[in-house]
Amino acid sequence: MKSLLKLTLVLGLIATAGSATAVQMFDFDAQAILPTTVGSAAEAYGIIVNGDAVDTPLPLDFANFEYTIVVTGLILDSTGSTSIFSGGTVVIYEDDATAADWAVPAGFSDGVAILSGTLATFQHTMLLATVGSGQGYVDWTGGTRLNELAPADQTGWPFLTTVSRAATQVEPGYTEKWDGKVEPTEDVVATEVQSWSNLKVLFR
Amino acid sequence: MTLRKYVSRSMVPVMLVLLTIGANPALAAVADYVGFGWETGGIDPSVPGDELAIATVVTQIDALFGIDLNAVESTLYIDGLLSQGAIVNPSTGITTISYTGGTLRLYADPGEDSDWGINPANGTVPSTFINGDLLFEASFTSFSLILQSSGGGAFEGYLNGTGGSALIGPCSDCAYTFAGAFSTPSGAQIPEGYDLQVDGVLEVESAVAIENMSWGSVKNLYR
Repeated sequence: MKSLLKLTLVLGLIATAGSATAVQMFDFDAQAILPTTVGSAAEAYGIIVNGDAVDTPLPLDFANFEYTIVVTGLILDSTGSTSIFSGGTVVIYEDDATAADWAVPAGFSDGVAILSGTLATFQHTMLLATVGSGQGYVDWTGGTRLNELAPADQTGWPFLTTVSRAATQVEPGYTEKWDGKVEPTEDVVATEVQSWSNLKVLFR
Repeated sequence: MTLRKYVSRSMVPVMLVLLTIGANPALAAVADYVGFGWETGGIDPSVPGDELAIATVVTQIDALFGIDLNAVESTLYIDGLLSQGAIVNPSTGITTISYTGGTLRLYADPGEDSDWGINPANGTVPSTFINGDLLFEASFTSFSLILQSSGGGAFEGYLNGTGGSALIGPCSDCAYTFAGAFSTPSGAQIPEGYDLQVDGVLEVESAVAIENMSWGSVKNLYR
């Protein structure tokens, strides 16, 4: 339609001026298996738990689907007080068929891959006897909903996680619990259609 | 410590010890939370007497707390933690801050109105995080926060239960909380005026739960 221009308005910037409360993240609860030898791979299997409590960067239908996040191929490059990993893959799945169960890791990676990407580097530090944290960055490169993110919004998402090795938190067969999130660097906002005249009004 | 679960005058409350077999050595009622914290005067540097507060929303909660997150909002609010000052390890750059005092409160609110806003305390913090029904209240016996120069970090604290509708009575050393704590260098989204993003867990011991049974049912257990 010629009279309308499809514009992507950076409403997040506008919103931030009035309120910085529109926090978005994929908040997950995961179990991870960590290697002890350099060159081996870590993996993690998690459930996205935002529900109604915290906004997700893309609209998700928690009433009808389960969303899982899987990290694989995260290679341990060095160990020490901080361990360094690289080369991981991160995928978020949407599934309405199989309830995720940590006893069956394969159940986390069925369904539709809505976002997939790379966790190029990740550092992991134990800071207390059983508690630590991990941090890295995700670049989204695939998935059925990748195109809902503007190209500039697809890279550099912080991957931040709490690490717990408390016996009460770790499922059988896993090394530690990850209570974390993947989040955009700023709010992802929807595309809005406006007429030229309305657009001009914004600049008067 | 016990969590209040069932109430009926026509039934006799009986203490049943719930034993677990497997990897988990103890049962705990768990709440998973995410939110933001700030310290008076800012956390860098944390100086003696600064007060840390943390406002969070609960994303998962154990059924033992007796609420449904599809029907109500649950918030967890921590305040009154007084900094003893920051200690920086010169070789690692890791900052450790110990705190004294402090209270943790867990609420269920049908209003679902929590809003972090900016520059706390503000018009919505703490007010929208401390409204609703008080489910659990506890006082910290210890609390430590550790931060790396990369922006990643963690905290943990131990608590005595003091009140709330889910708690049947005071309890000592019966709750534990830990979280990742992420400051600006980590890339975490942090609203203006806050110092930390946190993502953590509250565990309240519930190894002994109350279940109501008739006398006949109790007798059958011994036949």
